[in-house]
Amino acid sequence: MRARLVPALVAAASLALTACGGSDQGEANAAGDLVWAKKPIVFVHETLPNDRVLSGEVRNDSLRQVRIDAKDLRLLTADGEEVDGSAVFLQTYAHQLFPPTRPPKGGIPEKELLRLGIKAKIDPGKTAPLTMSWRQRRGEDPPVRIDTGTGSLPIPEPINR
Amino acid sequence: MGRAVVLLALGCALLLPAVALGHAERPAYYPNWDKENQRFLEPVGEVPQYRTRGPSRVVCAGGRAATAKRIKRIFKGNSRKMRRLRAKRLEINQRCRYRTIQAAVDAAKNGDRILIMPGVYREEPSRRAPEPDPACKDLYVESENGTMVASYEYQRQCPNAQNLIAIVGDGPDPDRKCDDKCNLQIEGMGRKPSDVRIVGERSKLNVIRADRADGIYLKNFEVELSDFNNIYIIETNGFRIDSVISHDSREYGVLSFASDHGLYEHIDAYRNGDSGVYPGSGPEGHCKRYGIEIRYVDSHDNNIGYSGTAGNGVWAHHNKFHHNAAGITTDSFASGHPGMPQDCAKWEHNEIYSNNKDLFNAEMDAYCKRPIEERDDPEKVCPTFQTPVGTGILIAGGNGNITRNNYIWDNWRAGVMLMFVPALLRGSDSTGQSENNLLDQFDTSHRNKFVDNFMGVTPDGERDPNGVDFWWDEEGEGNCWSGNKAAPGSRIKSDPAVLPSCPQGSPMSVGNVVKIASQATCATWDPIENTDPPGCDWFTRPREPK
Repeated sequence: MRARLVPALVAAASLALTACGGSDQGEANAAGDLVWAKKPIVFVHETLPNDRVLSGEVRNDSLRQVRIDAKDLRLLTADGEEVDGSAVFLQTYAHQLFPPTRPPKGGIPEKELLRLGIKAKIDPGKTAPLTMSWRQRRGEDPPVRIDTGTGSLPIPEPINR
Repeated sequence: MGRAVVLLALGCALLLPAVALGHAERPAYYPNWDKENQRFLEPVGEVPQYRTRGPSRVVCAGGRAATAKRIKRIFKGNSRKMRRLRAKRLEINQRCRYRTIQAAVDAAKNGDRILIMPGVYREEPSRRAPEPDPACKDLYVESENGTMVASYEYQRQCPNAQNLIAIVGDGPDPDRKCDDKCNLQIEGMGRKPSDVRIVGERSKLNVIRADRADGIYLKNFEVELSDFNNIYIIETNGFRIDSVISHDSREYGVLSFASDHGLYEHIDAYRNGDSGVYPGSGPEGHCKRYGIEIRYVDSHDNNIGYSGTAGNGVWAHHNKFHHNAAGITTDSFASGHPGMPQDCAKWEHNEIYSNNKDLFNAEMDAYCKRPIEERDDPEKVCPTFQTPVGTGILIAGGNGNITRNNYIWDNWRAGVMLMFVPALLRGSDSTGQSENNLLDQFDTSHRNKFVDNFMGVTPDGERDPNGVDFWWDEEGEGNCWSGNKAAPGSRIKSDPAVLPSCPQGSPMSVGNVVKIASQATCATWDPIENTDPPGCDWFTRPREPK
């Protein structure tokens, strides 16, 4: 029964995102391998009024697998200035197996990096969740796009400014 | 003066070279898991009973003469009771044949009692064992996430490579059951736990490891300063930890994993970098039974008072979890834990309060960035995982948990938080003991009940509010809240403002995307490179609510 429920729930989630100000036109301004699967949302954090959070889902529109590190995603203003931020290929919080204070010899295995959304491997036509966040300082321009290395993804206005 | 000496000693201990290893556990199996047929069998086993009779081996640090002096000092007084206790201890001391606990364990037969006379136990011979041990270089196995980790055979053949005291009980047969070192009772013979101190000084990952050591009973001592676990119980059927003080572990005060029929009681756990007590990968009773009981535990001043990834089948009652960054967490976050997703813990009659320990502020961040051998303040706890400071209970990806009749107050973020964890984040479990269906991303955070708790009010009836009493990401079905009471003149405060009542609970919902995404940002925390990720408020202690 739960398996039958899932497609409906995913659809419901899509509807919820759309209802929050999105539409499937989000990819119209995207360029490159990764596009928005549906328009992401950006919101002002409830308890951190200077912080912005973007939640979305990227789709690989290329014909090859995309391998990407979250830290390689860059937030850019309209003038091309970079804005410091964080990125992770997750829709909600995840917990690492290794304490962050002591990664294993040889580094964290790729399998764990993928699970934690620190890296993503996205096959053609497939999607991955993406959450990014940044501090919007007074008087500074907001980021308007995400540079993915092979293209860019537009950033919409916050829904609750 | 005395305090200064203790601090100096602890400081010196912290300056000793640390074992800096990443840690993942070998693939572990529940005692009742039928590996061949990939199914759970009916659980068979019991919590060990305390014994005052039977064969025993006596350990005395520094020898009989020095121990006799300590006994006379500890059991001084002329009351009849004290004279009897003193005489009894001195008589036992005469039977001392071992200077280290490990030596007594090595000599022990099934069912032996090991009596530890008052003193400080550093277990020097164990410290000399190399890690990794070249003698066991071929005894590694691949963990769930691809790293090579010590196998059971490694622990059996090189017991002190990772452990100051190792009780490793399964012989060279394939059954994963204890053959020797079973039903050992290891007991401190002081008047109080602190009369017998087992000191790790970060020399080994674990101070005490009980591995397939069915029936182990640990009682009446103090254990401190492990590099990972002060007490570690793994793949053990029947265990009991009673009247133990466990503190200043870099990670866990007391940790059990893939074990069953266990009892934690009368434990004082503090200043541990992850949690005071950790009943992880708890027994899979699927709400028909509770295989691990935790009672009369006082867990405080840790990063987390109680945590348990896949903390299934735990009944925790009449405990105090306070002055941690978070009081209780249970989750389905990490890979490599059998028994996913987490389900069926029951917390009742606990006091969960004042969990606002500010471990992630700028001063702590700077201190904890220093190499561990340069951290010289034993009062400072460096958190090893991220925690939403100010939270009483966090259930992340749990099903069928019951939170009932607890007093939960003065947690400045939230009394209780409930959020979901998608199946994808749990990773895989090649042992077959988890239910990780990647087609069902919404399989957690269902049927959790929060009933008859006292929120924002002390047991004395004094108002002392939580930030909100209940926070929920609005995902899941069958979650319900009923009968929770606020202080006189106050109301239960929740986010969302209206919560589904019991018994029917919430209809299925995929959750509030804003709330869910606000948690994702916290995953990027890194104690060195990203101590304050934008969009994450977990690491800022909330203001005290009015």
